Amino acid sequence: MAEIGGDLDMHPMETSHLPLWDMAHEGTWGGRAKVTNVEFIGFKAKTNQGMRMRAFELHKAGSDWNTVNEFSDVTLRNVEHDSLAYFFDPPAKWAVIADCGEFPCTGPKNTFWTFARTKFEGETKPKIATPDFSIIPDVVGYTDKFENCKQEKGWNGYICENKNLGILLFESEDLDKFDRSMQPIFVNDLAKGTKTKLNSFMDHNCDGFYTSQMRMSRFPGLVEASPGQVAALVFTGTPAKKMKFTLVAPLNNKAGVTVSIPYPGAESRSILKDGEIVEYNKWDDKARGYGPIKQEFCGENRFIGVKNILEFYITHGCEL
Amino acid sequence: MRKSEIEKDYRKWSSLDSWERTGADGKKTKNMPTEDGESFVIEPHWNMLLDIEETPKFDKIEIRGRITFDQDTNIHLRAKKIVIYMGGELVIGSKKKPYAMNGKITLFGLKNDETVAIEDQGTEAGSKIIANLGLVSIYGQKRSFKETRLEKIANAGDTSIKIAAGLDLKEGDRIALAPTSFDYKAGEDVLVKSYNAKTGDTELNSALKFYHWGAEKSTKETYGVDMRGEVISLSRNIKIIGEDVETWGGQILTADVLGLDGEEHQGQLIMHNVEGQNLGQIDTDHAAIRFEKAISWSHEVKGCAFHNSWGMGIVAKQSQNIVVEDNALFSFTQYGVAMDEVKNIVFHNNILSVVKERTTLDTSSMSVDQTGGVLMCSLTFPKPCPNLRITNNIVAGSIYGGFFAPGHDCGRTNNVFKDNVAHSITGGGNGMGAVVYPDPSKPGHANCFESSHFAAYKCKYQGLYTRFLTKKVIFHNMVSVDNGMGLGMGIKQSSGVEYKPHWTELKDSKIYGEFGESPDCPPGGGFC
Repeated sequence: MAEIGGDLDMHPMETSHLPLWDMAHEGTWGGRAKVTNVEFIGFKAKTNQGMRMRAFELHKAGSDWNTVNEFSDVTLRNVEHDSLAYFFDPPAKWAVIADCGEFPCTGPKNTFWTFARTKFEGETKPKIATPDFSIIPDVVGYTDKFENCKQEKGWNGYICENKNLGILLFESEDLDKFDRSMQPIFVNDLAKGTKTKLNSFMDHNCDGFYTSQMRMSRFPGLVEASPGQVAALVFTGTPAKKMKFTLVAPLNNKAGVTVSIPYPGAESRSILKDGEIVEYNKWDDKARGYGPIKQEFCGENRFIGVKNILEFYITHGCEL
Repeated sequence: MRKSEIEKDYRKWSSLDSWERTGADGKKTKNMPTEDGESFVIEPHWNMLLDIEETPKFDKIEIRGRITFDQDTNIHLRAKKIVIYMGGELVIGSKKKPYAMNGKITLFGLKNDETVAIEDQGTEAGSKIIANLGLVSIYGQKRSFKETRLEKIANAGDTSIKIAAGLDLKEGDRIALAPTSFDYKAGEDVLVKSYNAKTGDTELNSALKFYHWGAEKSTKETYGVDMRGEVISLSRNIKIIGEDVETWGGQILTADVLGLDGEEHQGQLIMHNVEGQNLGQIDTDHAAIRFEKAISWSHEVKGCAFHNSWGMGIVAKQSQNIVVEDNALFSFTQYGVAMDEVKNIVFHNNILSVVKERTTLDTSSMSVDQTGGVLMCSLTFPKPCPNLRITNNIVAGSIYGGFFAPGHDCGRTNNVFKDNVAHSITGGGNGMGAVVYPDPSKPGHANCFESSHFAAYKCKYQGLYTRFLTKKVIFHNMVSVDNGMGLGMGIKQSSGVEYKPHWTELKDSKIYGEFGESPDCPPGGGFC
């Protein structure tokens, strides 16, 4: 996990700061996690005490942004299939004003784990046919339509052979990024007719005995970044004037997705890349509008007048 | 520089002539201390040979010359307060000829007894104390083992155990059995009734209260760490004991001070193969062994056993050049070892078992005490502590956290925190084998730091954990067995730089699920 804030206080004297692994601040934008050449050995679905045992689980306090974990050359030895992974559902108790607002924070549903060159050893092996795969959470009505993904009920997730998985990470850069709500934000896959709902980060701040009701407007959204893919973002609140976007798709450096944002107002928007404005696509006289997104380079964009829709293409590692 | 010049020949304690003093008026007196409650001074040039088997219970002994324990006599020195001033020495045995008899120092006193004042505004000494502002040099007989392993499961109620053969255990020796489950308090000490050196079969004076896992073969080969229960040797032929009264233990303080006499005093502690019992004072930082501003000399605590304390084990503050090696530490409260604002520390090959919470502290539901096993500069973090070496130690049962220690430079050989093991760590609102932090004395750690070669098992949460300000943290060659949450790696970034990439990386490690052979809740184990 990567978190904004100062050093960990190793010996806090308030119970609210314990256990030490508890998250007290927002997840960072640029955090990444790698696991290489690690053996996971002897995992059963349940412990002798009947508790759930999993080789890979989400951080229990990871309400906001669970960084993509990249596993490579790991060995799974005597790991039962059901004990491999588990994505917990965001608990209903997060749906309070002091934490996530009207519905639980969605960080646990918007992350994934990638595995490359995995070795399976021992008498008990997970039923996985390939050394290269990914595991994503089960987002009802959304991930079930992801390409080459198979549901694993015991994991509350899906196993995928899909190199184009990505996290579209975006945030408000307006001054009121902690005060004003844009959520829920829906990520719609118009072609498949599916959608997922995003919440902003949890309120991690305290104002005396009370939470501060300041929630960072940052949103990681699980997407497929395949050729032709469009992620249509629908803000139920007014979208921020200035926003930052990136795509984290570590399995495919060329992965990209077109992002489409309908705005309530007609004022023009522009895309900045490395501080420079990226011009709209060329005007198409026939279509009486700017040319459609061809997914040719990061930052390619157009504004569809009347409908007031901004569309832009973003690729892995690119920041707009 | 030591100031006094000690006479070459011994003067025997038992001889009245040895106590002859010349007063300011030129008058000679001979006052041998013979009564309980007396206070006296060993004069600066005196070379006193303590040759009586048991002294009265003195109040205060000021050592400005030298006291040496007679090598041919079993000696019991009894006092409430022993203060060794600069130039003074308390000597028992030597490196070449460790003391071979039974030596004992008993510290007496109640909680509210008169304290020793050693500095006007600075180090607070307290009572029931050996206050070492000069030299304490003690060499006892080395035992054949510090810890061995249980070779068979020991159940609650058992009066015999099986351990390695060929040890020097004998009747009356005290041993401790470390916890082997998640219950950090399920360790205990017992007295040996008999030991068969050929078979390792050991009869105990009393029945065990807890279950302890053992096996003939080490689990090192299969799991990367030997998880058989540790059996710890606690008896030594030289004992320093705090009288067991009012749950108030004794203490050994070594410090540099500007004394009330206006003179500088500089303490040095050399202590090999000594047993300390009921040292450490409850609800204070007066640990069994204390170093405060001890910067002028180098210090050694080796081969010792400190056990059954109401307080902390070893505390060092603003001190340097301390070697703590091959020691057995059993049953302490709040902290086992805590060193802060120190430098040049070697903490090597020690075992610490059973660190418990204070039961006297009145905390609300929202507050918690600071606790833990081996705390290396974590209480005053990020104050720098250059040149720490924390290697090959075991924390076997502790509240809160096993180790708190710095990492090492990225891409460099690890000689900072290496080959340590923690297990059975729970309670105090936490339960981590180790917390590793970027070394504040290394500016490069703001960009990257590493940690490696650590093993943890049966910890409530993570076997190893980190979450500090740096751009990259790498863990490698780690072993985690049966920990509630395996290994935990996090990273912190200030809001200004959180957009730049920052990484956690775990590599070349092994993470095991449950270690079923050693059950968490054995039937009739004495816990769960």
